[in-house]
Amino acid sequence: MAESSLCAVQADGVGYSYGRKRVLENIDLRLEEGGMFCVLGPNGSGKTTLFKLISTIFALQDGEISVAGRSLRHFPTPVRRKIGVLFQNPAVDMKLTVRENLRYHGNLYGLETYDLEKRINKNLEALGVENRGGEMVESLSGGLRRRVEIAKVLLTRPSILLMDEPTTGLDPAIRSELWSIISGIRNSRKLSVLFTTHLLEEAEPADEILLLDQGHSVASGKVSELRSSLGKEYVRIGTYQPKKLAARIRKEGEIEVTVEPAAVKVVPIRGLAAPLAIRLWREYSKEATSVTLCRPTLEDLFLQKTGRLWSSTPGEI
Amino acid sequence: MIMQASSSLALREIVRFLRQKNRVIGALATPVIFWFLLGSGVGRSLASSGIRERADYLTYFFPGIVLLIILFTAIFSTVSVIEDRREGFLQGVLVAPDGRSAILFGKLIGGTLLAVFQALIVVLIAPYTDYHPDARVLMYLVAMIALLAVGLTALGFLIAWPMDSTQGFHALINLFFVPLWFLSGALFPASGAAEWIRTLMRMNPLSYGHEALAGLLATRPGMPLPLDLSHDFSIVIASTLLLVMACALQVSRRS
Repeated sequence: MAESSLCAVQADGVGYSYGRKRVLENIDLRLEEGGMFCVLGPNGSGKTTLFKLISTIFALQDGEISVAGRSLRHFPTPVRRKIGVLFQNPAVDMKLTVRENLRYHGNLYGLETYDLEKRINKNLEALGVENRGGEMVESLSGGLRRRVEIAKVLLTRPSILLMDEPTTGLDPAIRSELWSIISGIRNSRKLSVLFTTHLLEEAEPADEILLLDQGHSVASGKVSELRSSLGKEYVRIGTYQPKKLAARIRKEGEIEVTVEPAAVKVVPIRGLAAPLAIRLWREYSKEATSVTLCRPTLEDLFLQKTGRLWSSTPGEI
Repeated sequence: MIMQASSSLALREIVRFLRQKNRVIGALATPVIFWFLLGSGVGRSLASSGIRERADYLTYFFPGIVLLIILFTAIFSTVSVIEDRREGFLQGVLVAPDGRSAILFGKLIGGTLLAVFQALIVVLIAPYTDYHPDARVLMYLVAMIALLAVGLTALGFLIAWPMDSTQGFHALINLFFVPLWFLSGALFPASGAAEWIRTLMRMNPLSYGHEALAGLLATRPGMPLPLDLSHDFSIVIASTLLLVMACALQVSRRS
């Protein structure tokens, strides 16, 4: 904890139980100031519980968390002034207008009326919803509601933005739009960002990730380093008969073959994956639906660490 | 800051109430219709058996209806705690610096203002029931209505806070609030009841609220205030304080 003043969020040995059920065990993480940190995990991995601990909704049981250099156990109130929190379900009042929602939020943080109105105008404009101020939130689309919520959260000028599965329920186009908005805000306001997600592709832009599975940390570090720790590029062959094709390919020698759902993964023991991909395409083009040259992904990392596929994971905690 | 946050959340309660027209109509019309039908029906039945005049019972029942309005408003304003939790609004408040205190005082202030406003509208029809409160009596009436509103809103908040289902809340409300009202003297006086019922009525803080409301409404201009008023006020104040303290303790506890 000695270095806590140098980083935005630091967790050491965090554990949590719901009654007798242990849902988090010995979790460490460190978000550098101005950095972007992703807590990645399938449904049921404990990431929402960890998020609720960091965002001060849950009280700490085991371990320590410090935010902006302050211990959550001893100083939750000063920490709350530093964080902006975006929840999985929008924390806006559907029966109020956009502007009213922002006004109530500003009052909750004790902002003065004149300053508050100026900030509201500025944030609505920055998020492209300046013409929606008088509309009821319930009449807005999911994407616009998210924008309103971001405008609301940023009213208090937090230095750390915490987001729990921020793109839940949004279609892919809106999701990508939201990420570009968050990226723009992060750069312009020099925000430190910590977010949770179960979508592998959303974790890629993060500086660092923490991979959770069933309440345990299975890997953490920079995405590029984690990827390179997995080894070489490989070839994935799409097929309707993966077991049959894998048996034939194994006879080639000097390769590792793994059967996946509707695919066969082939890793060269010697040499490069690209010439192997061309050779396999020539020899097995009748059985193959596709041949792809792949770099190790976070999904591969999860498979390596847990022995399970990302898609075969249990329900949400 | 806490005052700004609480008053803002209280204002939100009022805005939401006024935007839901059905709620306004339901909260005001239900007790009045209840009063008229039950008062007339029971009064006539009693009159036919030679016990009591119909008009007398309508008059007797009137303070109970004021109490019922406060009770209904407390129920409706605290069920919003569960809605706020379910819709996600509450979590946004909980991560604010003084969010927990703000949501408690916001609900208490909002619920109390709505209850006082609605109860006073009904008090305006008091002259048609042989009650003629003057300015001095009205002042005491407002104070007692406000105290009862704070207490009942706090009780509703206490029940609603740990719950995530409005159905469950209504089930508990039927268990707590309705017997409290029945045993307050709103429907029948303690004097004619069985001993065990009289004991329960004496233990019920709402009985003292009802007694104060009835005593105040019956005070004609120029007459001295009821003798038991300070005793009634003391018990209602003490109960209200206890309930508010229990609420404060409950919201301060994080999971």
